[in-house]
Amino acid sequence: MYTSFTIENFRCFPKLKIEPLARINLIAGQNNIGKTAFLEAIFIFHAANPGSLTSIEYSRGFQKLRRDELFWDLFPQFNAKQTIRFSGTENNDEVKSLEIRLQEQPTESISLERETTNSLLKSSPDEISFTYGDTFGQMVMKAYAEDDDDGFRLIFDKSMPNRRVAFLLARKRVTVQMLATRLSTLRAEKRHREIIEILQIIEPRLIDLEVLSIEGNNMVFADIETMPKLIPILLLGEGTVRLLEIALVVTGLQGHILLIDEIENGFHHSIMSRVWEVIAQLARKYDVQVFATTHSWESIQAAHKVFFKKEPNDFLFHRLEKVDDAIQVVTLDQDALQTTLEEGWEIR
Amino acid sequence: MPNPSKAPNKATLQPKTLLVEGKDEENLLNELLKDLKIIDLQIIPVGGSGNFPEKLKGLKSRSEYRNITSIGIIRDADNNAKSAFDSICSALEGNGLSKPPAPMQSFGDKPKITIMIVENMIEDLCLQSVKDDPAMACVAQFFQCLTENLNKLPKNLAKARVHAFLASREFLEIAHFEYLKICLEDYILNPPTSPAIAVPKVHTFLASRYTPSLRLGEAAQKCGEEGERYWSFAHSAFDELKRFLQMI
Repeated sequence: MYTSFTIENFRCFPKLKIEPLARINLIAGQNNIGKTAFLEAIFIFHAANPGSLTSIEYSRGFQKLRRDELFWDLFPQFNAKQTIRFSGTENNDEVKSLEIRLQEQPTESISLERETTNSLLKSSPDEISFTYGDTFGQMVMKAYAEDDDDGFRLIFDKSMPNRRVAFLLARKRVTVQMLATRLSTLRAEKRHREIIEILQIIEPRLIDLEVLSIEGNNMVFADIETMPKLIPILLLGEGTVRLLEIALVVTGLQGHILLIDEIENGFHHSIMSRVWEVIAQLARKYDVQVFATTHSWESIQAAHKVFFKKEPNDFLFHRLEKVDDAIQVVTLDQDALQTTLEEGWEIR
Repeated sequence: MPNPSKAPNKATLQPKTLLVEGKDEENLLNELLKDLKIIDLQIIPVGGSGNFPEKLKGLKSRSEYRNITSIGIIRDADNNAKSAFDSICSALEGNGLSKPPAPMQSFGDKPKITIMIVENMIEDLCLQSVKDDPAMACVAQFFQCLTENLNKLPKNLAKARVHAFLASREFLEIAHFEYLKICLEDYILNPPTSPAIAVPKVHTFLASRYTPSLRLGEAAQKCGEEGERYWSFAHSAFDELKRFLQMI
């Protein structure tokens, strides 16, 4: 579990350090302050996998990536000559780091007589180097971009092994196939009842969950007490699907990281406390560290209420704010959070 | 156990903040601010002098904290002005804020810090402002009578004085007599360590006003028969307090 995390030269963060960190970290701040970018930084760092860069771009909604502007948006001021650096300290004081550099390769010399269209001259692949460091030393991973129908794809030969991080986006849901695969694994291990009990928080009539294959596609179906047939889980409310996502994903992240953007999405304020209880319980059970963002006052109140009662050291609230054009973090412990929430003081 | 039931306060944080002990001080000083026409200073009651450290911590956690340019803190000396001042300084230091060298001396920047320690209690200050009111002679006699006739001094004469005085008013209800008896019995069984005479005197004085049953701060509002305040802000007793408010 990380106790601190530093970002340099990534998106809107020339430099940002967040410390201390808890098992559950809730991040707030105004629009466009960098909450999602913060989650992306942790995603890239913990994954330590060049493929994470394209994942991030697709998650932002870019459908076609341009190789002439390879990951330009990941750098402050779009200056791709900088080195992106992340470092994290774990609770055993071990420091891990990741440096990302983009190296342009020399362009091939091409005769202008061969140029018949307005398309860009194709050059040799640009190289991205990922240098991951820990107490065992450094591992350098190289990746390069190769053209394909979607713009380009990253080719790389290695990544750090056994790195698991899940990023639940604000607006996009995980694939139906992924939900089905995960539930099938739990069913095979006879561990699916835990998931059903969790979903019963939102849908008390839920009796069971099944994975069925419909026209070659595996989907999760719910057995609802009053319904004559099993129904696709996607027909239940957004909150149910989101809670299912969270529960299924955490069970596969033993000892790793879960990122949730806009955690309040899909949940009525009246059940936010129960949602936080579930997250707290699962995170402890599976030793998962959680970073979530929120705009919601109710979400902050509910989280504080849950953790203040049982495990105050398991939760920290962080606010990103701009001070003299630089983004800083203000971290509130449980006492400060208690005072501010009691007074109704704005802390987002 | 948290009871965070409030929705967030949408009022913008003013650049100047004054922390006070309780609602009475908040109400009193809000009226004095109106009198002084100071509009960019907000008052935050901390719920007791022991809560300054916690409330300062909470204040620094607010999302608009960086807009604050000046913080004032006012508390009662409670018989030991130095100890009161030191406790405030300790709360400031614990929260990474500047410590003024002495009361009534502003110090630091962004935020500037100013502390006022009220001699004894703020109730004394208010009573001083009405010391020439004829009712105060009666209040003094009444408490003299209580002191002579009770074996032990009541711990908190405030309620006793209010209700005792109300017992002499025209429209008293029987319940007040019963409550008075219970209060006095309780006070006699629980002797005080340091009687705060000013508090009960305030209540007794206010019991003599046209609009009775007011608390310290409420009495600062224009609630008299002719819209007058019951504390005389023009009196020199408030001069130092006014100077403090203008320093923040």
